Amino acid sequence: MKEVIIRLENVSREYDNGKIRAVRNINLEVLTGEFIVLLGSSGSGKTTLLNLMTGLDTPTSGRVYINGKTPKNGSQWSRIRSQTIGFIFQSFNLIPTLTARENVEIPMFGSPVNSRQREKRASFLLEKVGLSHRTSHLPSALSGGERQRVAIARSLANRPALLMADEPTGNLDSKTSARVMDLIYDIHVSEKNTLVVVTHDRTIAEHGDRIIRISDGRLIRNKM
Amino acid sequence: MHFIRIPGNNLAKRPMRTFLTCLGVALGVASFIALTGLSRGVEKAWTTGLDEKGVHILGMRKGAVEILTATLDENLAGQISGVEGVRAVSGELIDLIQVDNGATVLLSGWPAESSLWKTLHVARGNLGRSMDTGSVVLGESIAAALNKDIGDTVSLHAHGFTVKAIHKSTGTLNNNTIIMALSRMQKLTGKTGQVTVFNIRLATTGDRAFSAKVLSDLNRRFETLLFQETREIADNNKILQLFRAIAWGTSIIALMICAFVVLNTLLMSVTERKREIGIYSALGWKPSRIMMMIGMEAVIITSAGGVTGILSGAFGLEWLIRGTELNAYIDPRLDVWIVMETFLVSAVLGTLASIYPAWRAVRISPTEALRYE
Repeated sequence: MKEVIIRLENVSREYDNGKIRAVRNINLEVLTGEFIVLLGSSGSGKTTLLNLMTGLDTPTSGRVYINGKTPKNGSQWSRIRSQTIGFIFQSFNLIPTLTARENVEIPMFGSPVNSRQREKRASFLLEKVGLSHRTSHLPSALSGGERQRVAIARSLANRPALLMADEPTGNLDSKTSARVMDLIYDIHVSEKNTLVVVTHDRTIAEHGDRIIRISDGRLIRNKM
Repeated sequence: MHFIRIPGNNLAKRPMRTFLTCLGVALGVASFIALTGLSRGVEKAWTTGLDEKGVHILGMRKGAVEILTATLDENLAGQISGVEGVRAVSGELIDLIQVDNGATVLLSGWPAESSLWKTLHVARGNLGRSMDTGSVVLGESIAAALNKDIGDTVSLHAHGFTVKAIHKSTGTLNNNTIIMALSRMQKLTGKTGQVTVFNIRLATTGDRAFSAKVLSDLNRRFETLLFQETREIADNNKILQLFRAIAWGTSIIALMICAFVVLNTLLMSVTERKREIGIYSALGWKPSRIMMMIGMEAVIITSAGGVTGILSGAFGLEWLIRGTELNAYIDPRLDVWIVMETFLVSAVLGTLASIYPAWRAVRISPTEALRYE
């Protein structure tokens, strides 16, 4: 039986003293091993929702549970993000001064592994995403697709139970987008982790086990 | 990849700024080293000079801030030698005098029968049985500076004196001292029957309780005099205390400026790398690790600047002293303690300077930072 990995209970997020209501009273459960798509147009509140689910942002009201517990502070969220969550961002968010392999090593600082083990794991992951020949390159020397593949490798560094992808193909051409989405999907299947993808692209949404439509900060449809 | 590569990379990304910050730290540390070295050098020259003469206790005029201008009745020596535990007493007249080459040197007058003569390591010439009033003994350094040798004449206060011997000392001060018979110096300086200090040797050495008792007896019996153990002279001398305070104060100000330079650089760096710090936070780095990254940048800057500053300060101190008259009074050797003290002070200030930028870094909201371009 699948367990609930994330649960949102009446979660809202307001800005500017309530003038802007980015997320409104959302209740949601994400089960282990699911592939969920948060679908919505630009400004609908889907990225805010993802940020709330991962502790990058704090709800104005309501509660977020990860594996049944509510993290109490920033340090607890940091530990959860480090151990449980892997991130893939739209704009890759690689550190420009570090090589591809070093970027993949970043989440492993704080894990009980030494530098040699970090390097070995990073090399393995880069090989897995087809970039074994680009390990020593800086992000500036990589194409958009390659950068996103480095980001995917980085998201897997600590064997996360939950993969969060925020518009992972938003900065890529259609051909590269398809390849990147295939890679993310393959990883989801092979690693058996939970995948949450935020997108406005309906073709990506079709791959999901569950599509959650968001509009104006409200969850309007939860389709299996 | 070792963790240090990340802060190292951050600094290497802006080489000119990093270089200039390190240079600022180096200048501050160099001035700390030079000023502390000068202060300690004066103390070292004093204490080495007294140690070489085998003096255990020094008697001076009570309340005198500048002991060279204070005078004492030379006949007190007889009374002092009567105190139990005192083996020998020797009055000494000391003055600063300008010599032929324009340099200012220490002139010292010792009684003909003083045991101090036996402590001199004569390198050339011969002291004979006693010093005659027309002769002087030159320290090796001042002899070289004046280009004088045995039999040459040295002019002091418009009077000619024959160089009878040249002595070699390990102390800078003694090597730059001209010694003559006390009676002749008293006449030469118009201080007949007067001395500046009393050099006292104890009957027993190495016994702290014994020397403390003698010191107490001396201070009790001679109310107009102040007796101090030679190892305490440098610590208690008002002039040296003032010099030490000025050196410390000035160098701490210099290091504080360094700390602000480091703080400013790190603060700029944190502001510029807002997005990058947000990424680290989003990827699960704890606030303590982000603080460590900023702290290590400060440590790298202060270490690089510190080492450069220590080396340039040491060379600068040597150059400053060797090229001036200061070499007569200051022993510029830097010991490991000064270096460690400097390194410690700069490391502590560097770490303190990183606290505020590090605090700012961990307060960056990841969502805000990830939107930042």
